[in-house]
Amino acid sequence: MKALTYDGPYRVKVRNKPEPRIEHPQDGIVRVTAAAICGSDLHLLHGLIPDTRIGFTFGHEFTGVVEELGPEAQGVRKGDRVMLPFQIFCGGCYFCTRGLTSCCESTNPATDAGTGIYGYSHTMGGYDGGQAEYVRVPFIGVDAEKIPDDVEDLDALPITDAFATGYQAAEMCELKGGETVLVLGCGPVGLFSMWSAWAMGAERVIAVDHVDYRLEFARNWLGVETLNFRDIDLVTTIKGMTDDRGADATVDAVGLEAAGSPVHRALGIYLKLEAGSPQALNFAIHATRKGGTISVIGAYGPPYNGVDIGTYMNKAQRMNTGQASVKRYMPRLLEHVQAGRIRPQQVFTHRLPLDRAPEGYRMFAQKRDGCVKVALLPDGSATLH
Amino acid sequence: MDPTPRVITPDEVQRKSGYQSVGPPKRPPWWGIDRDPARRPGVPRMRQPQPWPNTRFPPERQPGTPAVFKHGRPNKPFPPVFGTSCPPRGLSGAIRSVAYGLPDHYPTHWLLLLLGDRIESWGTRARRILPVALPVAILGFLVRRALA
Repeated sequence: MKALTYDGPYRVKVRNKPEPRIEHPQDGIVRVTAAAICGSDLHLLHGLIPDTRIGFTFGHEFTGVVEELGPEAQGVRKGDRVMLPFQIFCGGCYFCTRGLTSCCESTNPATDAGTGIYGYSHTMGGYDGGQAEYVRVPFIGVDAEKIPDDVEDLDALPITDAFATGYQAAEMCELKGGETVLVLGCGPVGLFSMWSAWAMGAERVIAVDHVDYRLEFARNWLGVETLNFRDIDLVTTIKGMTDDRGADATVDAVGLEAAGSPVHRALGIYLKLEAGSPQALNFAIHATRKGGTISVIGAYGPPYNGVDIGTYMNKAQRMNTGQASVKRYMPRLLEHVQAGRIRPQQVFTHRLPLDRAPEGYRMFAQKRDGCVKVALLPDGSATLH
Repeated sequence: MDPTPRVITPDEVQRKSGYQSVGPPKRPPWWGIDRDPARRPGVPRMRQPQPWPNTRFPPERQPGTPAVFKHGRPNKPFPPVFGTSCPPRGLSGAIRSVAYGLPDHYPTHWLLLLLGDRIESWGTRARRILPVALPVAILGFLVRRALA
């Protein structure tokens, strides 16, 4: 089968690989109909996530059709259209039973920091991802969510990661209604955070980025206020907009490749002396009011970062973190899609066949051609508009 | 649930701002649809324990050889399900093996993993380039020597 494979930092290629097979009685094999390139895939591409091996297939955001089932897989049937949460979880361990499927204990021996994730390095379990024609899906009966007939694949696709992650990010802001929410980053997760902040009753939503076309997308799609931090002193401006206090809550939807500090980029991204650039976190600490909430959903690598923890402590802030436990959000997000409140597929500015995936990566990474998010269509069967 | 809060108007935004916003906010018609925490699926974060539908727990152990190591936690059991893509090999595999001998709260664990990544990358690149580059270099050297 054809699959995107990692070829060393900044290089990916589409190659032929052996098709996946059932390796556990609860496994299934899914034929991929659509796979997205996620912003966090760029951290892999840029060699920032430890133990990313040559030949590994990326892709943790995908939909597909069930092709094959192991003898103990229940709950789905061959031919079902399904979407898969980006993390692999067993459904029965300590954390899964308590709702934290992103902390499952049954699928990743490599670290205590996270569970198994499709296509996200051997640090996250060494499972090949969905940017391929077929993918192995452990615990398919537990993890897979059927896509309702009236929901298109490309509308379901972001629910497997970006939409659920953005929703959880807004949820972690602990909004009661009437707050000012600052969202750092206008990538797909940031955009879905903004949508979710409106849904949770935020009074103001302020989007921050340094890429003008993305700010324009946020403005047009979601009606939020926008700031380009290249043009202003971000923290001073935010305080000026909020009675000199700062935002009530801030979402870090950027992660470890943040712009805004040449020093941190040099130390973290180029010299690898810290785990990427923590500049978004530092912006968040300074731009959030005292006693406010910081919601960290951006991906950071191990082992340490230069974060202004002193200011964080002195400002009596609270930080909520965690990868989205996607499965619990799927029914609610499907409800929003079915009710016509959002068409998640509108974030896919580019839809490419799998063969052109490397081009999609380059475009996404270099923020060319107005690219917000790329969908790969391995078999061309996903509904296009 | 509290009554709907007073909502700032676009005019007020412009007046209160320490700068001129690019555009006034436009709240969508479904604004506040999930304002009630009871509608938020992740609240409370840790819920009363209950297995997910179709769960068979504990899962039986996956046969075969894992491609992934367990990090250095002697008492941690190896999980029943694991990835098998791209097994470790060569020098990079040996370095990764050493790295995983250390627990994941040691920075050395991660730095060794990054070293293993770079060595695999350089090795792969060298294996691709050398079959072409080496004969060309030898030929060039011989031609230069002959001309000299």
